[in-house]
Amino acid sequence: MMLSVLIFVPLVVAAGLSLWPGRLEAQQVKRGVGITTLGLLLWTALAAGRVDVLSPDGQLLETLPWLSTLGLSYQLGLDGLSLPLVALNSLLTVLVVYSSPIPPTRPRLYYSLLLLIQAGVAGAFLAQNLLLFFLFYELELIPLYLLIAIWGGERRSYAATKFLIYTALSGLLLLVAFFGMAILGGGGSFSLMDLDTQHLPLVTQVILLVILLVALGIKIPLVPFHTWLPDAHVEASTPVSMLLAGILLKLGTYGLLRFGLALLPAAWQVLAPGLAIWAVVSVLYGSLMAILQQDMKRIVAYSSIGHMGYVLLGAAAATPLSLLGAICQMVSHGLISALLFHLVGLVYRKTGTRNLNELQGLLLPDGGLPLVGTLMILAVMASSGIPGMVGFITEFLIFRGSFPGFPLATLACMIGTGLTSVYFLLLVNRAFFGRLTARLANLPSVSPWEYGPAGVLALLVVVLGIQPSWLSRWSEATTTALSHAAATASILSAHVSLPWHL
Amino acid sequence: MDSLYQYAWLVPALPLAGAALVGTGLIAFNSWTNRLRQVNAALIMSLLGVALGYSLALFWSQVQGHEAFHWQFTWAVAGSFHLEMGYVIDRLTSLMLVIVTSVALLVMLYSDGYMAHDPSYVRFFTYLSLFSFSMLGLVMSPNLVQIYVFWELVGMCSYLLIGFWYDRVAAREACQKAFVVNRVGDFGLLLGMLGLFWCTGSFEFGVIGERLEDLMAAGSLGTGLATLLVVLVFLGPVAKSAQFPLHVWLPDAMEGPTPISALIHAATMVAAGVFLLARLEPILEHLPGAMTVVAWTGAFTAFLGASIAITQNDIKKGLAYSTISQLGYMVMAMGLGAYGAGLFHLMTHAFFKAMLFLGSGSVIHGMEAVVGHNPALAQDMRYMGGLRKYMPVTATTFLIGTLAICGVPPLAGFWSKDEILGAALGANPVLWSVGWLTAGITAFYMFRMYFMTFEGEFRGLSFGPGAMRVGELSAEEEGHRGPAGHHAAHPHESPWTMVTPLVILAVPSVLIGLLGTPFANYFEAFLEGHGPLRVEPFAAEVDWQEFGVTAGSSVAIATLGILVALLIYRLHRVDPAQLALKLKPLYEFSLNKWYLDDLYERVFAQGCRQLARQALEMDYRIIDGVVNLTGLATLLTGEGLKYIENGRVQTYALVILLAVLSLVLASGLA
Repeated sequence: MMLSVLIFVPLVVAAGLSLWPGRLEAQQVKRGVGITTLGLLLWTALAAGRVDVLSPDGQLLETLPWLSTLGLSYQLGLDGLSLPLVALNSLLTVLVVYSSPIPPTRPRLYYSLLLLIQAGVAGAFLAQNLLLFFLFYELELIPLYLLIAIWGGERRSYAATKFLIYTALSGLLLLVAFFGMAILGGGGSFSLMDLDTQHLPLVTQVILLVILLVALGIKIPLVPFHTWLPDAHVEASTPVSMLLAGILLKLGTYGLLRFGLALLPAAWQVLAPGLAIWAVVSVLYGSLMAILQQDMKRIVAYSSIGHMGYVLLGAAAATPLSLLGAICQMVSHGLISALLFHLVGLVYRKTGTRNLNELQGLLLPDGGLPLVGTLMILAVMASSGIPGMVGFITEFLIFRGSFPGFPLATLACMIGTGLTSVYFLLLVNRAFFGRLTARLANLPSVSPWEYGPAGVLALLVVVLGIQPSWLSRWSEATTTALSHAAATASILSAHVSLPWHL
Repeated sequence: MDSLYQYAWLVPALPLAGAALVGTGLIAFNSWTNRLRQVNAALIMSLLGVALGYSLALFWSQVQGHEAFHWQFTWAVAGSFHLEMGYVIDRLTSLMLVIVTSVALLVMLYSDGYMAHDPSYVRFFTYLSLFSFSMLGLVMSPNLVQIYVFWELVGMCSYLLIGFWYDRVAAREACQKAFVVNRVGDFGLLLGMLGLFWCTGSFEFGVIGERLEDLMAAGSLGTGLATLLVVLVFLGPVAKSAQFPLHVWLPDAMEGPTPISALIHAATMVAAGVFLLARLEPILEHLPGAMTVVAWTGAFTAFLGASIAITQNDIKKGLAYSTISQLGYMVMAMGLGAYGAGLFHLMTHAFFKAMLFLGSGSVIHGMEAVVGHNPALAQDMRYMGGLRKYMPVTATTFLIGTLAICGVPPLAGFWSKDEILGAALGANPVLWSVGWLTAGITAFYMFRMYFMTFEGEFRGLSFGPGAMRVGELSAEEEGHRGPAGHHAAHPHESPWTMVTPLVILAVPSVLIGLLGTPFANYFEAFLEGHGPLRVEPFAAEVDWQEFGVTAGSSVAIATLGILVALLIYRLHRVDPAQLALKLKPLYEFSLNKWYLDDLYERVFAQGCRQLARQALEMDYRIIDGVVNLTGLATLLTGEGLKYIENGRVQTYALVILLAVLSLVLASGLA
């Protein structure tokens, strides 16, 4: 029952909030939801404490039959792939609830939607059944759509609709791929334990994997399926952006490892060179796009596209080290991008703009936002992979793990880290250096409470950067096993040649 | 003795503690901490002072002949892959520790005077302390990964310190340029490191060297590939030590406060590249091809830097190009296998160039009293002249530094440069002649600088005798930081905190060369002991004839350079403006820094922007266009809006949820 709590408590609280007949003070709602999420974070820590990190298998398993005709059963489990991401989810939700200013309209709906997202994401990471994963994957979609469409910026309905169309398409393709796997390889069961897709003909596996890749490629997002992301980020409010970049994108990369690499290893091996090239395209394209942007949020959004590309590179190489790097990079990107979005949000709240043409000199101690600037420089350095912060070690693991297999793709992705420093330094240079203009003089000061989330995130970024084993120890056994299993499977299927080789 | 080594990690940890303490204070109790200016500085300086004492103890222990000490722990582990961190105290490290801590401490003392009126005084000391930590960590690194870690950290500190006055446009651009150019080098370093690990399975210098040799002997690794990997690693030093073609950031980095130029951009960080080459010695010695690349890069850079320094009018820019040139000498020595000579020059250069930079800072400090806080005016030598009268101590120490860098015996620069030239003569006469010619140019531009600054009449804001066009005088308006009210008629000598470091540094600038004379080379004898460095055998019998040839020729060309400078800038026998007019193409070529900055701007900066613009175009027109054209977007937008505006969002959500569920059910049951 350990894991179900992570899903059902937020669901129940969310339902309670929306259905409560009486009046509720917005402040009370926020406090209650905050306490709930904090409790869930502690619960996650408890669950993590009961996980045996040396075992690569799913743990704390829970199984309940549900719709057996459909092959759907309620199966949860926690392993090295999901544990860091579940923890990240619980942590970011606390910070997001804390840092959200109480919305002027419909506060109850707002907080229940945040809880619904938490439940959906936790469920997706914990699900041990493809159909269950899909249900949670869809569950998280609608609240996010509403969060953008109701509390977003000026072009919110355009952005929200675009987001919905893209992710609905992603969901549809995902469903197709899952049905293919279940019917062809699982005898109708969607359970991860029953599925045996490895003995399918290689061509079938490749087709299934391609569908899966497109489905999840939209979510990650990879070029050219990425255009929904910058629009969604720009229109979403700061807390929603933190959630979106921090945790929701990880559903895509998590799905790649869990269902692509683990279930279709032979096909993965066939497509791996293509995936590495795709990663390079995404990294370079996202980084180039970030250079010319004028909106700070857009820069951070495009940087996400680039940085999620590294995860794909690590996944493509599928060595124990590169997979470990990929998982750690997901967490590191979650922390750093949430920090970046939070800081951009603080700038926006104090100055009323995110446009780099209007901002200047914010680092100045008199009248500027010096501490925001300092933290921004830290976040930017972390994102460009400067040692002492978590971004360095995760990128290093990915590059080190991928280099033997794909030296050229690794090289090209390393150029991406150089470009990261270019666009982020431009951002710091333009917004924080220089002198304050008359319009920006006497900005309202930032209260220590508003720094809370930034402080927590910055601390984690530095601590995990100095002590990376506190991050990597949770996943090591699982990624090693996954890599070996994939390698064995592809050797076994090596004699099954593709039809066009006949 | 062992416990001395066991606690050697304190040397970098003390400045880190200082930086962390004061940095936390700055963040949490900003106004308090800023009010306790000199208390913070005193704390940071005393911590670094202890580190200096500890370094001296370690150095002395190494001089006594104690064994090198290694200590490592596993920092990160993933399966069979271990990342080790730790420290090594050998002769090279102990020497570097003493250089870094002593120069850093003197620079801090100096900064107390130089930065006295700056509102960010405390922040400056915090950054200095953080830099000292990173640099000390770098020189103690036992393997390539740790070198890379601290390599990046010193780069970050350099970024923060160049951009210290971030309200100046030039400083913002300069720190960005420095960081990005250094990232290019780091990219090569990281790639080369990964490649070497891929071949040899190790990040340790000695192990990599041995295994490379075995692999190449067995024929499983081509010499070409190994050379390529090492040249990639060499890209790191090329960027950090400002070698051609990645030298462009260093002159711009002069936008940082002058103490930073002395510490980071003259004495320590830029020498890290040379230090890394010395550490790479076990790898380099198997790859003559890579050595050749290193040697020629160094020689070319030496000439390039000197040729540009001739025409600079900004005193700090002139010194910056001189630094590039001198680093070129060191790198050339590394490429020739003359590690001892290169490191000797690193040491002597660290002292006399730090002194020259601090001297230039003292001059600028004095000039600011006359022309105001405008770097374009206060650093321009055409407004100076005759400063010896007003700043006697600064002038004397600057003259000592100038004589030392010109290679006038028996000052420090003579011995170290001569040793490099001697090695070059033995290896390749062409390299020697480049180095020899550069020595002459060095003497010329350094004395040009000295004469323009300290001799003759004080010019103030009237026109000066430097070779120049009228248009060059357009000083940037932006740059006035403080109130420009307190103009004095004459510059004044700097306060004792600034003058004392100059006097202290003058001592090694004169004497330290005597440690490495050809007749009694203590320096190489020390380095060649039991450490990992193997330097050429101790010259028991001095080849007086060879010494006479090399020393004589370099003294001769230095004298020639000094005489020409004397004729032009002191005795005014030749008008530099006329000379510049006659040699216009050459003059312009040098003045515009060989047009390299323009070329890079056009090719890389604008090329990158162009590429980004095209990507942007594609994103909006093609990728997004396809989506928008489907019409679905507009349709759904209208629908969505209607529901939201009706306030029936919950209904809408419910509908979608039900639709999804029924889709699942329907397809499942079918």
